[in-house]
Amino acid sequence: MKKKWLWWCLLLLTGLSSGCWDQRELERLAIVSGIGIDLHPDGENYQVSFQIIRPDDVLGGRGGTGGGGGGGANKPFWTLKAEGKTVFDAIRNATFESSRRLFLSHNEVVIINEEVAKKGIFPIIEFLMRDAEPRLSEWLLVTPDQAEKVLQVESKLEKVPAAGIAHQLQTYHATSKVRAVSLYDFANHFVQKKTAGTMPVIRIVETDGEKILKLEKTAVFKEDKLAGDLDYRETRGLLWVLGEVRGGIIVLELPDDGATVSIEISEATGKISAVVKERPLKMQVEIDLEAILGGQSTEQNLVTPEKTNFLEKLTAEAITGEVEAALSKARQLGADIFGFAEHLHRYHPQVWKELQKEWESYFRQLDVTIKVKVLIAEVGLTRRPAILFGE
Amino acid sequence: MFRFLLRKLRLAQQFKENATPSAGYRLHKSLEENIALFRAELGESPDVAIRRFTLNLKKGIKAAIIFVEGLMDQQVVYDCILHPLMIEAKKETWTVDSDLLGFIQENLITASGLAQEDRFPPLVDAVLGGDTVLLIDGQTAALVVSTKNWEKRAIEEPDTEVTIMGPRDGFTEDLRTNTALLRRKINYPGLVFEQMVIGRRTRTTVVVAYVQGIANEKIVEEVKARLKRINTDMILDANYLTEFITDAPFSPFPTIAYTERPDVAAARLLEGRVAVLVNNTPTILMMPSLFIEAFQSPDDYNDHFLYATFIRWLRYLAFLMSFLLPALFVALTSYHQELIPTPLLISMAAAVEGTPFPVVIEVVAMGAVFEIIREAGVRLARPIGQTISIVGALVIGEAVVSAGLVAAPTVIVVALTAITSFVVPKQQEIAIILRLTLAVLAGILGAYGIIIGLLFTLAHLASLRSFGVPYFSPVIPLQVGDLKDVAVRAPLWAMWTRPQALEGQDSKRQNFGERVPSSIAAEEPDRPPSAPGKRKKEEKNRKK
Repeated sequence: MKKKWLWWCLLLLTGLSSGCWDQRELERLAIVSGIGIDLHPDGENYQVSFQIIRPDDVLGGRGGTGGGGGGGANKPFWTLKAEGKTVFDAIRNATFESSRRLFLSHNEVVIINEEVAKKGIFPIIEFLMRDAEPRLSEWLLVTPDQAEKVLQVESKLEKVPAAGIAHQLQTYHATSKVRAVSLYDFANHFVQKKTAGTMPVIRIVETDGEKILKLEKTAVFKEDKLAGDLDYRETRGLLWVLGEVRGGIIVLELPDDGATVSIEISEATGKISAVVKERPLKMQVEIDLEAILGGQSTEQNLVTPEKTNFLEKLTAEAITGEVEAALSKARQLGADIFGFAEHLHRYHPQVWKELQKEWESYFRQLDVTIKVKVLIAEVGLTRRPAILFGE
Repeated sequence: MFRFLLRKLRLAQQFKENATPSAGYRLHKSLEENIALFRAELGESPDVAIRRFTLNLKKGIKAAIIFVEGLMDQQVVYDCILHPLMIEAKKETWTVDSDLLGFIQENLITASGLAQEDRFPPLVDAVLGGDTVLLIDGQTAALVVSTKNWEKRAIEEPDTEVTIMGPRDGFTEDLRTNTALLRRKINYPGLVFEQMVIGRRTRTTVVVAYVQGIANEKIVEEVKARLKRINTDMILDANYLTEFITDAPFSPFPTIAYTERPDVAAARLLEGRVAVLVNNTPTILMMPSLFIEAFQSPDDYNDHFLYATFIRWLRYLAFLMSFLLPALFVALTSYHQELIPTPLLISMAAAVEGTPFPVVIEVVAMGAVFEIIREAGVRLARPIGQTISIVGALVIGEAVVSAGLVAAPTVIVVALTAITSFVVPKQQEIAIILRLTLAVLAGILGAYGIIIGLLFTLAHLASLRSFGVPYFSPVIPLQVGDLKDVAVRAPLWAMWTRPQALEGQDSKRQNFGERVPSSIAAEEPDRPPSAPGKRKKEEKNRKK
């Protein structure tokens, strides 16, 4: 009987002594929605800014709860700056100015200043991966502006700007000209052989005297350092190869009457393969596309077998052009953004061992054949042009 | 603490050796002496009436009847005893041989229930039980005439177990009515009632009911043995028995079920369970009882089986919510904020902003307030009950939030648990205990605390037994066959076996999947040896 109680006590003790937990009341937390990382003017330290949500003011218009706040007069967020030798140090130093402990689990975006990116982002990624609070799903972005200023730009639609940026990224499949990269995706590049990481670039633009945020270009990293960037066309070229194209419009120009035709991407896959029998080896990219005829500016009926075949050919050419553009940029930067090296390492390890040493120079002259298969499977709600003039 | 209680129990056992009058002393020959005996035993209570009269048979013989007013039928006493003995007897010329009592018994008294008795204590019992005792001068035996009749409540639909469809009758306080109700449901000779008297002072009649050929005889014997061992002086309600004979007296889980509905009782009896009916209470006990029974409502068998299955799963969900929701809420808001979706977290953070107490205290306090309101509502006179709900809803719900004392989500969570806890009324008490314990555990340890609490509860549940039957079966131990009335509510024709957990004798209700009973089987009532149960079919037929 005595022994039994002892066992119970031990069982309870093991329960209590394991793991780390701490109670944190909701009202004692500062919920961080965005982190911006800049270089401190002294050039040594990081200056980290946090976008902290003010829940009462987010709900603002809904009235009700608090008597004190005074409602919608306040911004729904507060930007807090802190500096430190490392990002972690800066996060802890932030409590000098904040009444609450920073809570990173709901952080949605990490915006990295170009200068920081050029210096190398390894320590930042390492911290974000190691610490228990930040999520692997948070989005990474690079900005040529001050990251702190980017965080302060109010979203025109969302109450919390960081959430606005996250949504902006997630709509990438409307064009497939921007790449959304999460912490997890990017960290994967560090694991892969010689694959260059990419990140979307965001910057502040002014239209009609108002500041808004715009996604443009894609930053290319060699190892952990910023090396260059891809424009919209090149970005889609990259996404074709990676098989990440989810949607978007390809605009064709008909050679006979110069009319434009919009082809909507409905489903696309991309596949890399290697031909290793002969040297120099060849890489092959196969792209498979199912598309929709989305609009035309000519009266002629394009839904005939010949015309459709012709359109498919034109589309394939356009895609090839986009991939070529991305390829030449990558060759120029010497950055293997497509993951050719990783493919070789996985499927042809012997070959990879051979090429490992001089891969970068090898990559610059790599022969890549692009095969594109296009099928225009749908034509929308009408077969002939939607409006027929003079009939 | 348990040991202390056990020691108390043992002490109490020692008091049992209270002298009950050593039964068996007999009547005297003289009427006056016998009346004096009764007077001495029953005292001068005004409700005990002794009516002396002369028995007009041949020569006048002195006689008396003794009864308790209010427990007997005046009309019966007059028509069946006084009138024949005083008036009818005079008219005829009888030849009475030596056995005067036998003669009266056979020729004069017209009451249906009649017995001779020569020992004194049973006579006193009979008088107190509402019968009339006829004493005749010079006889060492008396006649006990059954004249029981008292004010009874009508058969009504029980408030505690309301159904939408199905029969509306409920048990009453009268034992005879209750046994009759069961007989009416189960028109089968195998239905056995065994009577015993428990309680030294209340002398409560208790009936053990079971269906011979279906119920496990070992369980029947166990029930009877446990009942016989009770030695207390009062049994006022069925629950008095429950606490004496339950398997795990300290467990909050009820291992003995109760019902006020004859249809439920009949169904349970035909599954092989034993019922215990207690005089003067409308609740009857059923054992062995399984955890899962609380989730089976009589309506399940009246509705379409698909709908019944859906509703049953809703009940499981509601039960889980009723004890888990506050704990999860506490754990999420004070430990695992990363698990809450961001927009929800913002709304919750805004609501919590500025409230003075930690969430645990809010939840526990609001839970306690709700229980107080509920308790007040139950105890209060009906007309005032409404006031309580208004005060509860307005003051507690609305004012507390707008005063900023408690966050609105807390009120929502407490209100939701309150509603869900009424979905499974038979496990409601456990839900309340679990809810508070888990909420406090969650407040100390977060989700980890909830898991510890649930593990302990589950371990306890799995180790409980009700009269030898694992309480958590058919889930633990898994009995796939029995899941037909647990995981789903299978169509009645597919529930062709009785619950296997009960280990009854005749496990087959009907042939497998037989939907249309053959005409012969429908016409001929079953006899004990074969006895395939047909309760559902019978219920169905009756409704038509």
